[in-house]
Amino acid sequence: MPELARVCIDANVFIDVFVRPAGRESRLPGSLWVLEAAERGEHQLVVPAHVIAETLCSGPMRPDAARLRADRKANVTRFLAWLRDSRPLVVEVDSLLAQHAGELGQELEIKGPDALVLAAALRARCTVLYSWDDDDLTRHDGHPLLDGLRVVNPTVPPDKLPMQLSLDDADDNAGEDEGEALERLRARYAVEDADIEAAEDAALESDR
Amino acid sequence: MARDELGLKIDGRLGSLDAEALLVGLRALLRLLGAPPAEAESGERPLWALTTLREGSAVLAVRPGGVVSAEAVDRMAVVIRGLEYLAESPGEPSGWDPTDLESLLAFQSVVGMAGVEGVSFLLDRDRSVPVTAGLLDNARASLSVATTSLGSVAGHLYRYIGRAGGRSEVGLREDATGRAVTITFSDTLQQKMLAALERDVVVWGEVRRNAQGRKTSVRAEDVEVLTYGVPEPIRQLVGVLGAGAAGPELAPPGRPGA
Repeated sequence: MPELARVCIDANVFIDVFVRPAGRESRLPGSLWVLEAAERGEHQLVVPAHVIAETLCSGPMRPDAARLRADRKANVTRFLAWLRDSRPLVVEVDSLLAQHAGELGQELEIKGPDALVLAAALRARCTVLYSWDDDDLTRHDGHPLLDGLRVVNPTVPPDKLPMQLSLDDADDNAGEDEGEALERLRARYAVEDADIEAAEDAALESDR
Repeated sequence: MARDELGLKIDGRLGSLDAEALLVGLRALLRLLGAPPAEAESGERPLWALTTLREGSAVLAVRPGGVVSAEAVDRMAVVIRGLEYLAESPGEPSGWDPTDLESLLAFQSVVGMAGVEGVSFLLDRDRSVPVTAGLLDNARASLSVATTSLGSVAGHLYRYIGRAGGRSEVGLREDATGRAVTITFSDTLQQKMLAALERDVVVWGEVRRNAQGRKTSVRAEDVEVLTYGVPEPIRQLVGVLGAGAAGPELAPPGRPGA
């Protein structure tokens, strides 16, 4: 069996999916696609170790109520169990990786955590690094130091986004209300509400 | 030489060759192989069997003998691969540790003995590795450039190698690279490590790297066996660490433009 292509993720991909922060729903389909493609065995997911810490240190950290603390603990356990059982390739952050990251950080003028992600992707010989960080990472896509590593946003390939609304769809259904649109999409693609919402957001963005 | 033999040829004319060269050379060869070899599981005593001893130049060879264990055969292969590697470039070869490099450097004293015109390892009928200044320089450089740091290595513990220098050794195939890494451990970890054989593990301890930065050995401080279940579908975990999952009084994730 041919070896799967390795794809590395920045912390914001995990955070989009597992934390699902307010205001970033439009990124969810792309981030989710990266993880689900790994789940389907379409590529090998590579996770720099410090991304795990960044993910766990996002979202509500210390809820006040005891019940909420227990919920939080249980959810962290579920996340860690998924991380163990889905067996991504975790790249440990060690002194050599840190040194390499330091060199990349100096050359590309980027922050330490971003440089560590780049160094980890290069060490794992990944073909792609998915990140939403356009300021520090994706703008370096194609840089000679990255040795062919693509650094791009995790947008879902058009042929793998059944819930994507085309402009034609939007025109054909002009005038329908939100409930009707949801029902139509649900029937057509049988996808989750979250996907539909995100697809609608994308369509709205296009209309603007 | 047969494939499972490792030979040593000490060039020189009989009559002028220092007899000590043969003695020191054989001792250094056995030290490099790790004498005595690892015990077989049956507990019977294995040995390195002398299979060749020729005059002319002094030629000798050893192979796993007595109760031939898989560990001894593996060790022979590790030593031969390491010699070939060091003949080409510096760097701690896979499965070697600093003690092995020092054992190789011991051959330097044989080269300098009276009447010795050259020393070579005979790997098989066609292949040999001469003990040159280049080979010894590579071994020396490997000792000096190897770095040690505290860390871990994850992979599959695939075999018990044996005992050397008061510590036991097992072989680990690293997940990330597919390369072999030697794990050494003290008696206090013996039971835990042996129970982890043929399992996926993470080993912590002093990680040694060669000149290329590749992990070559770990002086283990602890080991954890990894067990895997069926992962929960990712869709069921969307937002699991978010505000919505933490409690109803925290605001649910918003929608842009909503």
